[in-house]
Amino acid sequence: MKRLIKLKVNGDIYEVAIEPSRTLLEVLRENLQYTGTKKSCETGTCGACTVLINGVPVLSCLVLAFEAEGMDILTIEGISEKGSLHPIQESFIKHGAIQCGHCTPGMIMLVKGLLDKNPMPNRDEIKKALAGNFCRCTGYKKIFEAVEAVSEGK
Amino acid sequence: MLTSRVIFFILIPIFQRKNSVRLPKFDYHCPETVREACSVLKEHKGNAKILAGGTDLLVAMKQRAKKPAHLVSLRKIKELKGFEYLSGKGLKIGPMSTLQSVAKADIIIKKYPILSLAADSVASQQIRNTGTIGGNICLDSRCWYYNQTQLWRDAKPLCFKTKGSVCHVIKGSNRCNAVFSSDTATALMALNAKVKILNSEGTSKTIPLDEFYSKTGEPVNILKEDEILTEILIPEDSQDGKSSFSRLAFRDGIEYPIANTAIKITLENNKVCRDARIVTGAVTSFPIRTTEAENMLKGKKISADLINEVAKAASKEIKVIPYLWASPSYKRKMAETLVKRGIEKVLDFI
Repeated sequence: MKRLIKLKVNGDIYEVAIEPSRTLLEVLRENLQYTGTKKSCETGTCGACTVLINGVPVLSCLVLAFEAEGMDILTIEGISEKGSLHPIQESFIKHGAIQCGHCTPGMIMLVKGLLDKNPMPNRDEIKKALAGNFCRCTGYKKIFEAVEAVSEGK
Repeated sequence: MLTSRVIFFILIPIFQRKNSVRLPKFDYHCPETVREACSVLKEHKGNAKILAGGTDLLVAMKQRAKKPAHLVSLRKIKELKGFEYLSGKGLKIGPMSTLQSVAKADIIIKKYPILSLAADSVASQQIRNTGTIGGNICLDSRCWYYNQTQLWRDAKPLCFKTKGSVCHVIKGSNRCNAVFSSDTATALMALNAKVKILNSEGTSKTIPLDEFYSKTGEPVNILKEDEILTEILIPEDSQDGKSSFSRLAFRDGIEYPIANTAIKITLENNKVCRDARIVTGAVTSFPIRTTEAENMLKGKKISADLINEVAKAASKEIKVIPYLWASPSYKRKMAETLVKRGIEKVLDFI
């Protein structure tokens, strides 16, 4: 049975009438057109759908939209300020940490969650944090470099 | 021309819908007290499931392995969250605490470090931020014939997990042989944790975690349809001694363990072992405490030879079920190594 819920995405409050079986990922992409959050494995193994809920990175494919009611949801669309890219995004571009780009929004959201809590992570902490995000194009070296650069303020 | 349009506009969408990984339809309940949650569970007996973090249940539902008509979310129940330390009694953990909060809680790192390590080793950070410790204890067992899409499961006769009467993992077996792969349960058992269960009549019982598991394959635990796990209690005296947690998996991040061990040893002043608990998890359908191996340590000074003997005894005492590429004999060997290294690690701390 459809029910009306309020979702707070990137600071804006949206009212959506949805079935309880819809995941947050589906609602973000299909109802609210926030297609920056990518849909990939949908079973929690790839990390492409990572969003921040109350500042904490979670997989939007494994969270019911109903469960996210009343929480602060932040997607990739919400991290740039006044039309300019977020420093993490700049760093990913600068270090070539993007190839096809499908995993990038999830990676950037996870890195944002990491750096907000721990602004100077070492390589091991970055590796541990990024363990749940898969890049199927190439390796992770440039991604680690991009994260390290932004954490050192370069 | 017309046929190609039929294929593009009618057949492909139908095909995609059938194979999509969307959740089946269900009714959502979000009670605010445990009693209310229990009565909702009772009302829809057998047709309702508890939704804690959902990181395991929602995947099983997407694969149509589970099709509950009702989901009872526990997210609004305040009494199921947080930690409370009562000196003299021990630490109470709310089962709805996320695995990440358990891994990072100062009190757990300080007093029960192996629980923090175990919680930190589960899956990925995103999953730990959603998944709960209660969910990890009540985790369903896994098997590569069961945790598949409907199409795969339909290709074989019904197994014990799908209310059939054959097991595909061990041919001819008369029980379910799926692996219980929780990490925190192993650590909690080494810490002698107890769990409190409440039912819809309002009566509660507190039992040791060891007795929480049915040990008969399917169902995995003794939780009845109208019961909810409301509290995890680690006794005060579990702080005594030193402990270690070791885990082996095919890779470090986001993978189920092949085997994990939690070991807790208390020494007396003259370095004689007073008490020992050795628990091995993820090798069979419940975490196993190897009491014979523990007894070999008690009352003795621990030497390198004794460690080897104890590790051998522990690997003989456990039961093993194959999981993917990990054969029973490999699992036994690895359990032996984990126990050996685990005891050595504990002694390093002392």
